[in-house]
Amino acid sequence: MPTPKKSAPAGEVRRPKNTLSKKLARQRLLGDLISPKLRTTLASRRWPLEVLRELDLMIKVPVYFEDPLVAKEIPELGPNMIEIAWEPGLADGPTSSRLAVVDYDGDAKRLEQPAHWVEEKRCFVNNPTAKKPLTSEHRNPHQFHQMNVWATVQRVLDFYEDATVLGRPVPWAFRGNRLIIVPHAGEGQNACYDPTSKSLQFYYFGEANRVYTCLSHDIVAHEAGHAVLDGIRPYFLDSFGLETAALHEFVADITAILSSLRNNDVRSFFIQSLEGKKPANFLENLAEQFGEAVENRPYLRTANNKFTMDDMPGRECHECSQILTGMVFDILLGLLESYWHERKRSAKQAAWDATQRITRLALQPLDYFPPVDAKFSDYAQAMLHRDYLLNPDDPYKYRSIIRQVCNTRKIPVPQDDKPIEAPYNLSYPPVNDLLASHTAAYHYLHANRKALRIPNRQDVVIVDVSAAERVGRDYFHLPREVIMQYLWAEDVTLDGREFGPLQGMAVPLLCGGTVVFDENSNFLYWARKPGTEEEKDQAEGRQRKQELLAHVADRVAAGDAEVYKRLTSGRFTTQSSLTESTLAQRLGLSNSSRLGD
Amino acid sequence: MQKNLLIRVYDVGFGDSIYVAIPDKDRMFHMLIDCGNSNQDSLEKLQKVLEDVRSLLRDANEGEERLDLLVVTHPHQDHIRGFNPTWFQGLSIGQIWLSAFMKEDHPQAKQARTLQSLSTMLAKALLYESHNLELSAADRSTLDLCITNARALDALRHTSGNADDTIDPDAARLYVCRDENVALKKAGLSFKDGTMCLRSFSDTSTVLRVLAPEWDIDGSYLGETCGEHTTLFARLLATETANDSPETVATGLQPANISMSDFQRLRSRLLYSSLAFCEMDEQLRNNTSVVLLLEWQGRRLLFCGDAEWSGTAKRKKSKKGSWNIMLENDKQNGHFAKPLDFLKVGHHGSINGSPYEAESGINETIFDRLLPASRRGRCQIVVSTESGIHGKKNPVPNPLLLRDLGRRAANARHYDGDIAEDQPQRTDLERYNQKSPVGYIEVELAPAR
Repeated sequence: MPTPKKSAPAGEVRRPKNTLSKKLARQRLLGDLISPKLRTTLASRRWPLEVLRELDLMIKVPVYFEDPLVAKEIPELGPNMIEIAWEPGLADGPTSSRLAVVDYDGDAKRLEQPAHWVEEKRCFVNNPTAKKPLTSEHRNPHQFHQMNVWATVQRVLDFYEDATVLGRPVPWAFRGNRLIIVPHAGEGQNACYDPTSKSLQFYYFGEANRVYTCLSHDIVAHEAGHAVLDGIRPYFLDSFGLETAALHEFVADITAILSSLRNNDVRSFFIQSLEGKKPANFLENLAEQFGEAVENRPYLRTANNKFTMDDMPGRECHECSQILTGMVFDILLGLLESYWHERKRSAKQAAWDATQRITRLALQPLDYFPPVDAKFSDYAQAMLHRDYLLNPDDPYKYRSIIRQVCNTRKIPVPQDDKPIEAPYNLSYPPVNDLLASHTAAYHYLHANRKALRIPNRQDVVIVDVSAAERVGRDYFHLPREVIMQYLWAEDVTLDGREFGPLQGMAVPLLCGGTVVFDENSNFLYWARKPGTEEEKDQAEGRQRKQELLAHVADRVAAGDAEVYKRLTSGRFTTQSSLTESTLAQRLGLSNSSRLGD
Repeated sequence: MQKNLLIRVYDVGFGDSIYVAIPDKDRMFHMLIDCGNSNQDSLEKLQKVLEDVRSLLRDANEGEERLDLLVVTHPHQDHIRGFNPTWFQGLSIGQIWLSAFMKEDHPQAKQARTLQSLSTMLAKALLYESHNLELSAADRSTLDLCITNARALDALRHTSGNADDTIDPDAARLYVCRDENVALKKAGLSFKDGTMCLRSFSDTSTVLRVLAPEWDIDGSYLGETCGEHTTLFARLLATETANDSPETVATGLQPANISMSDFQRLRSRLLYSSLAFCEMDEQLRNNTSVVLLLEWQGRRLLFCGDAEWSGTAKRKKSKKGSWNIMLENDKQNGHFAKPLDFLKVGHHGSINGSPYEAESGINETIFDRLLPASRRGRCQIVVSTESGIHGKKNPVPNPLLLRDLGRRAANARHYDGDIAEDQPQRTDLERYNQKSPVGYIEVELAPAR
């Protein structure tokens, strides 16, 4: 595989210069020489974007870097061209291998014409008879909105799959491989990710000054972030803990911020705003236009905050997520300060280096999350350990910056660089066997139950085994990593009057772990959430059990049926003796078919 | 022995709980209507209401805690949340009246039950499974109401099982309706002047009439269009083929880039579709509220529950509000011909909880008959409500309605910081004047003759 160029940010379009126009000419020549069959083969191999750009296998699409309100105030952040990898089979919608835009308005019960793909010109147009490529100036805006939202989500997906982030294909959590995007789902001040319908839904509101959430980069990237995290950690949405829900929101918010920072113009504006040359910090204020129109506040959430874990009690998950978003933003500013003023790089170079570094720091650890019930401390520990693996020496003391920020935010974090120890007596895994099949991976787990503290009587599910090929600093190729997630359910009986009609029933306590090896079978990381059955983990297991019981009792006391969802509609098949019809009877619900099943 | 009729409308937040003590010759008849509030209110308020009611009963009955009648107008959280069997232990109840809609095997409520099940599932999906969905206050309120409080319903309906799971197992449970009903007659009610009524008072002039709901829930309150949608929606959710779906055939809606089943599922999960169904269910439950007219010693008291008025629209197939049906019945029964002495305003002061508009074809509103200008200041009007719960788009209570009622009420108040004009007494605004730990608005009515 060709080495990616060092100074080529993914997805960016450079202004033509003399040397570049020659390069473009060479690309076009190469592109003309490549047959359609070879082009299909190349595109299906998922080459790095830089390679695809060299082979002229990219298409240019205009999108909003922020949203129309910001674009109005800051024209350089208006609709601008980005590059998306061409792939065989691009179709009207737009429709690509992983995404399908369906412009159905549930309010008006209307299905809009899709944006039309013209293969010869490699662009989208308004309708099959149109000659000019789609832009934001078109009178009927729907097709531009469709293209804008598709390109933004595609960019987020490409961003996560890139070697600088996860370095592997990202699955969706639902059964299937195509995420449906609905740009004008109906009237409402809302956008959401709905795994049941495999969709991202964007709504619109306002009569005089209509606000389309599908045009807000922050909102679209945020929802796409939820879909990505759900794909790599599909049991997070089944977790009841506040911190796990807040982590989901954090990942969604940081996706918006970091994917925005991939744009040269956005980075440039950010630097100038820090220098006081441009209006105050727009980057950290998410969803500017949406926030202006809703609740008369300038933005929904801000990354520039001082919240700590002490502020969490009584708050809901969106509010708590700001602790982590603020933490990462503080680290970004710390890195920027180091690159710019201490290491004396130019503002432009410092911004790019800080962006690259924070992207690796903040997002590569996502693969180190446990499969369920992740907490803020799990994230902070994963972040530090990942950085330790990549930079054992840490000459510029960036891990000190991370620890300092975590301490300020009261997030529990190890205070030294002591590496995570491998479980005692864990055998070396045949990594190719792990990747061969889930059953083969299970054989390894079963042989190491004692080391991994998996109770002998529990049946274990392999959630996922993935291989990641990432790059570190200066695009240095890192050893391939194999990440394995496993899960089991420990039945917990609801014993006590506080459980009302659910008394005597069992609820699953999801337990499991994530273990990471390199391609030479060396142990890299282990994160686990234990049950109560293994002696060494009993204290933590009991605490988890108590938290679960308290949560169920709370829901029963509140008189709502959310606990019903927890017991029967989670994606993990439990070992509970409870049947859906019994529970439905107890809770006064009928046996009508479940949504989406 | 108390001679005046006493009403306490408790401040429970956004909800209802009303205690009525009716003098009946040498005894008092004690009635409690509803005990609930929204999920955003404190349960402690409801506990304190029940403690106060029990205290009143002990004082009136020489230490015995006996309630003659418990009325549960309809199965919304803000009316039933407080029916925790633990809180009712030791309280003896004569009869429990439940809306006919709450009867589990009611043969003429099949579509209504389907709608209820669907909306419960949709509400759960929207509240707990659609991530990052930030719902408006009104939408969240609608969805909360769709999630039935199963424990409270069980406690009210069932008499067998654990004593901790049921409210006074010896109390007779009656599913009441307006129209003539054999089961209700056997239980001691009678059918007179077009309504089922309780007339077993020592004072023969005292009558407690059931003005709503109608027994035929599906036929009266769903309407043809709503019924069709319920069936279609149920089919969409079951992911049956859409080939014979009238909507798809009529409009040709099917995107070329996803499958039919994926599109069906998507449509069923769009916020609007789901919310629209939840709103339909919310309206249905409101419209099946038990509406009571108490006639006592020349006085007329109306307790409206959450009965809705669906305006004067003439669409043939649209669903009808409870007020619309009551007014139609009234053409024969005439129970709204005379003015009222007490009105517990419907649906917490919402604009659709009262027949505010003029009926089609006449120049007066029903208010002009029930609360005539010529009797200004004769009717006590109370609103049990909490502002801000429902959001700002359709405010509850509604200022226009409050202004109109304020012009007609004997107990009109001017509340600083609220609307400029007089309005009827409101539980949420009276609480700042209360000194007791349990807030309420108390009304006493002396006999008219």
